[in-house]
Amino acid sequence: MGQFIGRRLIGSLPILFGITALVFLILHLIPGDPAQIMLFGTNATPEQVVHLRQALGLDRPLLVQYGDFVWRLLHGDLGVSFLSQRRVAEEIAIQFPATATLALVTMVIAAGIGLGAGVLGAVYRDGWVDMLGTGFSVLGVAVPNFWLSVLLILVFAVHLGWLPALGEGGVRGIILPAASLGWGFSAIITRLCRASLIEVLAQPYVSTAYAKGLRARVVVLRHALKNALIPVVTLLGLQLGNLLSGAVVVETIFGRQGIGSLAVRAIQAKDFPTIQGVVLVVALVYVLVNLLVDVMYAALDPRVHYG
Amino acid sequence: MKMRRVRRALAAKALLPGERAGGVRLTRRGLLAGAAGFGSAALLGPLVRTSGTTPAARAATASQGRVVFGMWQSPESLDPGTSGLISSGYINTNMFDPLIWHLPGLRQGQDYFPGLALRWEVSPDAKRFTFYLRKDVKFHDGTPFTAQAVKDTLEHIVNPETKSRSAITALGPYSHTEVKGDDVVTIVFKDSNGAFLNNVATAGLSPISPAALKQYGYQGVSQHPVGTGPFKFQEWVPGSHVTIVANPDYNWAPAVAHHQGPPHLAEITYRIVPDASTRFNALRTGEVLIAENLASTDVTVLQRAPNFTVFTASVTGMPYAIMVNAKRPPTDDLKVRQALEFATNQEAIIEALYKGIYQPAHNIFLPGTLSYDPSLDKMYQYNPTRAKSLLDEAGWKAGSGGIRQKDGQPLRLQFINIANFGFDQISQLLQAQWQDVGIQTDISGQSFPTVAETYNKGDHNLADFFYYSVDPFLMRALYACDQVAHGFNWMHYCDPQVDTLVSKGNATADPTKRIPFFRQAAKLAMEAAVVIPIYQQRAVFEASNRVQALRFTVNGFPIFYDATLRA
Repeated sequence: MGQFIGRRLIGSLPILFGITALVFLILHLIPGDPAQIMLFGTNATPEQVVHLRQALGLDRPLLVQYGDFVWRLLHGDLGVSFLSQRRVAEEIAIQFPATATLALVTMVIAAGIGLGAGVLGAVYRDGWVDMLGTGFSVLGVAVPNFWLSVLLILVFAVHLGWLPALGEGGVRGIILPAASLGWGFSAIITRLCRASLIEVLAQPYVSTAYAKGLRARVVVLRHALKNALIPVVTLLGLQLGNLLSGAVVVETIFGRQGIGSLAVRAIQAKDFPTIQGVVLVVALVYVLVNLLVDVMYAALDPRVHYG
Repeated sequence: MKMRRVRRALAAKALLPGERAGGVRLTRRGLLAGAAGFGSAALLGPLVRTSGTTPAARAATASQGRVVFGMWQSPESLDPGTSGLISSGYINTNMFDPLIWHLPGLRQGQDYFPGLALRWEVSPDAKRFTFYLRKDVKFHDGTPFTAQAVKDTLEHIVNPETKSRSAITALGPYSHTEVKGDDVVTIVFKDSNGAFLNNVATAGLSPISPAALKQYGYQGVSQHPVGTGPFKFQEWVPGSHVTIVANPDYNWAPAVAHHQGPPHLAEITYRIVPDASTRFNALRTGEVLIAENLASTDVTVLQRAPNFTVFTASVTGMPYAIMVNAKRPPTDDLKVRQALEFATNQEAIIEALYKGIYQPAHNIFLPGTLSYDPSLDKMYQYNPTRAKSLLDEAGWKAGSGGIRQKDGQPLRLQFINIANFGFDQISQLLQAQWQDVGIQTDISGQSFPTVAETYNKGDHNLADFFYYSVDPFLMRALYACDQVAHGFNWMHYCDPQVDTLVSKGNATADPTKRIPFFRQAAKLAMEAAVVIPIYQQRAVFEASNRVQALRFTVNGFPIFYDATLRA
């Protein structure tokens, strides 16, 4: 297992570099000179623009700029933000916990609701619980999170006054953002969990378990669900990307801190170092989470071995 | 100085119906940067009225109450010498005191009022400005305020390491500063800098503690701002909020303020809420007590609501306008440009989009800007008949489909918008108005930083613009021949006569001598029909009725010094 993890980590290095190279190139393809943007409106002379471009190192050939970026990266240095002049690593360190918390709470809520509704839907197939769960899922998948956010604020903050409209300040502040982000997510989990469990429940070993006189709860939760979870866990890993992109929107709407809103600000200002830093961190998280997913397969299904 | 009103811009933008989304934000940021600087000159605007009435009514009670201000944009720096963003300007205006206040129109015959400087002298060539400073002022860190602090602040601004965006422009052709004792300082310029008094009255050039500059460095001071203002820095959580608290030692409020001593409020939190509808909702739930840049439909709702007050403050500079490219056919023809002016019905646009919020504009300056000439407003009034005859004279004859033609070519204009900048609906209304006189307009949009490059290249016939400035010297940035390739002269308009008039207007600091030059330059620019003014933007803020005695600088930044919070 340790070897497997080590190999996977080494194997993900090219992915990370590939991503930075891609982002780097895309950023430089978009028109708009960061130096000019920074000096916009300040009556800068062309000489000042050239000077700033030199100060930022933007006058060098692209390959040299990228090489420099990689070299510094290998030394653990993500560079300095054009915009705030803070170290990018520091910027990300400040913003990351807020996004991580939001993502985690969302995951927990979504997984809780999704698994619960999925199991109930599969067990009481076509019953009213299943119908309810299906309706909930269809809505959740159909409603975009930016609209849901505004709707939840109107209902729970403005009209009922139960929760704050701004998504910060402890437990109460995270409920609405997490719900906005988590509903669609839980809907997907519900659908997949239900379908997967229905399939597993039709397997011969489930009949065997029943035949041995096990109680329904034990059969479903211990025997069937564990196997049914494999595709669900895969989905959780894959959906992390959606979760992070959803965070961009939800953080902005709820006025929350986070790397989503940091990314938006950086992109608007063409703050190359910050954009690259954020993308790199997100990619890293993605790689790690999917590694975790692979490891979990082994825990869920004894037939899976790594080594 | 340019867009000083940055925020305004923003505000305006946000007000547009349906404009609340992210796009808006983007734009503004760009603008802000541009605007830089100038900002804030005027804190006192409203203050002035009471001036003298209660000079020394020392606040007997301790500062109390916490106000949360919902603003759309995150500051990027709290160093007034660096930042160009309105959001930074809002905060810095309350943490830093300027040397002097610029409050035109508040008192007959007086434009400037003492701040940290009790009096000042300007040399006739406007190259040397001497300030006589107060001796009883301390920075938030306890450092005494002296002439050396003024010098250190300016040296900080011009140091390349600071990477100043707006203050360095507001400062102008700086040469050096002469310290003559602790309380006398002379700022020397290489060239005449008639606009300097207006600029020195903004937060951008306000003194920073020399001890802080030394301790935190030119970069670090952006996160550790130390000024002499009524509020001092407490915390900045990036992406979330900035909190400033009352300075208990504050005892040097300008005479025009309503009270002396520490501010009434104990704390102000500038909460960053990028989404306009969330700002509106947070205002309704009471989570924020004052908000900016709401959608115009929401502003209308609040105007009718009993528990809220909509504050508007006039600003100076240039109105929201369309710039006409004088180089690219067919708008290279003066008659075509004049026809556009006559075919434009600003009143109808206001009626459709901003009723009760903004006024139509017919001048390249906003009223209130030094040298604004009301007689120029009459030059172009809506007159479609006149527009048609001008087009006839220019050889554009009625053709098929109602679009005029010349040599087989239809009369088509490329209208490139700054996307989500508040111009999208305006451009559609203009398209319809111009269609009536036989002009076809093709509208497209590009996002902010990109569009500036397009405009500089001149691929457009029509561009969007607005500009906040505390001084008519803004014409230098907008109309100068050398601003076509890189600056804001998106009209690609070059008249050396205008350049000369503008530089003469800046060769003295005496407003009465400056005005004729700028008026003449403005007349020439308007005769060239390179700007189609649309509406006069204003600063618009929405607040709970609990917030009382809120005041604004000339450029519309909220001043919390005299404000109180009702229970």
